[in-house]
Amino acid sequence: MRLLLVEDDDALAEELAEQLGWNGFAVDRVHDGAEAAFAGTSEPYDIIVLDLGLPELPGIEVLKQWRERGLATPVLILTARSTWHEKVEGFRAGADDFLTKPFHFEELLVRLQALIRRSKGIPTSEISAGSLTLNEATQSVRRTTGDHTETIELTGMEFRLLRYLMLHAGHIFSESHLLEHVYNYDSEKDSNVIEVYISRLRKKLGKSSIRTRRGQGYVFDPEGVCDP
Amino acid sequence: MRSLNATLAVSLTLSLAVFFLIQAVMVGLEVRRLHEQSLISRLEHDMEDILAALTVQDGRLTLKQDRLPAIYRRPFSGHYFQLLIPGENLLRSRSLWDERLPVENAGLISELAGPADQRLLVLSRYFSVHSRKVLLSVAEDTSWQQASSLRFQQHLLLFSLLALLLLLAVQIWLIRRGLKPLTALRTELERLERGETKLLKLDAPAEIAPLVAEINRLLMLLKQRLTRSRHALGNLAHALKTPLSRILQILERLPSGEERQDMIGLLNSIRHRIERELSRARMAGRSPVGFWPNPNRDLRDLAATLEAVHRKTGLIHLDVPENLRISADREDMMELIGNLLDNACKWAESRVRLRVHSDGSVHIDIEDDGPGMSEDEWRMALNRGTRTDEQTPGHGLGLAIVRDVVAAYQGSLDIRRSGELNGLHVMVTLPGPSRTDSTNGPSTPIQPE
Repeated sequence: MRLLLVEDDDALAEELAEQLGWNGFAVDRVHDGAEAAFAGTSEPYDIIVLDLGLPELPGIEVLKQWRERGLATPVLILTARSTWHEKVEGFRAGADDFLTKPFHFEELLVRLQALIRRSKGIPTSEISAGSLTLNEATQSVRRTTGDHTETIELTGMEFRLLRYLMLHAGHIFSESHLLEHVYNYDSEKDSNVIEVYISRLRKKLGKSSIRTRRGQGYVFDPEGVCDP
Repeated sequence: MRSLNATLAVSLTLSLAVFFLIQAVMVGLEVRRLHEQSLISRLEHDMEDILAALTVQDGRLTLKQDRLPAIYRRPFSGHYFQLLIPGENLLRSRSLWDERLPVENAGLISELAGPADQRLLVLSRYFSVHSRKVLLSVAEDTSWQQASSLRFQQHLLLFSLLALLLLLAVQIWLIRRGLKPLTALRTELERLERGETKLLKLDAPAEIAPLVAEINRLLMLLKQRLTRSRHALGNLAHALKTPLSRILQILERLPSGEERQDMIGLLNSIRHRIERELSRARMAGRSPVGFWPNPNRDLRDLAATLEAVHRKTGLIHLDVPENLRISADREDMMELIGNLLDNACKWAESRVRLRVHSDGSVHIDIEDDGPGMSEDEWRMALNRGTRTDEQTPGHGLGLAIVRDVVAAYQGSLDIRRSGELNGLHVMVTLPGPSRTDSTNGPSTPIQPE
């Protein structure tokens, strides 16, 4: 999940980016409104965390510009301003959720995860596909076959990749697309990396769980999940 | 309240009435005096004629009747005289017949009962006639003169009364006309209170133009101050809460333990305190610039916002008239209703109903179908919010803000079981701007702390 974090306080942004990274988000940080307005539409983000009190361009204006340009990415507003008329103004501008500073990181995480599920049309509180159920808190996946339940541990990158695939089961993704959604802008990207992680996931979930379409990319198939 | 119009009219009526009354009395008295004087001078002339008609016959004074004016010869004609000659007989005019004027000394008697119910003015003087000292009294009936002077006075009074009424009508019309700009000012102020205008728009005469200008200047100032202070408070909130967020993130990374818990608790109480104080400082309260132009639209958006926050679509049902206008600060009202709705959404099962209407006062009704809080628990929560040592973040704070807003608008807040939805029914009444003095609503008014 690519996440854009727009926060003018460097220390807080760094802290949040680090914690979000541990929780499987590929985080890009920007510090002012003008930068944010550009970044939001130039990179394929899955979710955006936006502070309202920004230098250069107010957060509300940034959000309005995004929505005017047709950006549909869910946006969570993170702000010190907690009055209802400000929240309403935020929602009018196109925000999807609101969190007031100071906040517990857990609260932010829960809201971000819920927002992602909601934007993908998942009504339940967990991401599941076929026999697999993803546990976002422990970064593991549960496989249920009949009465038998097995928990499979995932590494950070495996978790990022699997979550993205499970949220879009049946979609074909190219390597570069997957790369863009699991790594942030600044990381050194090597397209071989995706191949490596796909093969690791196949080892854990069964060969046919992720199929390769020649010349097109990878498809996650929940039906293909089996005990390897 | 003292009315300028009434005060002017009453004082004018009184002064005019007193003036006309005094004038009528003075003129009446003067006319009477003039009458009397001309009468006296005529009587003096008659005296000379009478004295000239006196002759001595056989050593006694006698009157030559034919030398006297005819009026003294006709009985009870109203003109009389008598001559009192010491040691001799009493000579009198034929008109007196057998009557005698009860006069003993020289002088003037203005009212003497005479023959045939006449009222006489009697002038008496001593004369020396043919070496005798005689007392001559000449009298004239004044009753017709009195009647005519009375009639004159009556006419005068009647005329004065008419003049008084006419003058009053003219004066009252002038006062009304003169005070018209003040009436217009008052109408304009009422429009301002209802929020129909933001500044006084008035073509005022020179006398009150500075007042209108000053009011407008103050209104602008008030508005600017409010905007500026709210802006500054927003910045302050940002400046305070961003580091607080960071402290919280750092604390949460520390291994859990008693100290960490304590610090998180302290942080929350600081946060609670900041929120509360900032919300109080942001509040506009009742002010002439307070106006909420489109509650319907704002409340629809507020409901959508709350449904998004609580992730329950179709939860809130609104009953807010399309054309509702409320003369209270928009942000204050949004805080009040937002916090009440937020609380109702927390407890509701599937339905929250918001009803806002205005009949001068603003009535806000919020009902939910939740089993959540009992009325007593709600009241406790409302009061608990006023404590600053609240540990659960956010909880109770919203209700404390509700309390502050209701108090600032001298409104009242009441809680009961909702008849229809079976949950809680919160009723807020905020009196209209013209009725700020009547704090006694149907329920206990909330006093500011």
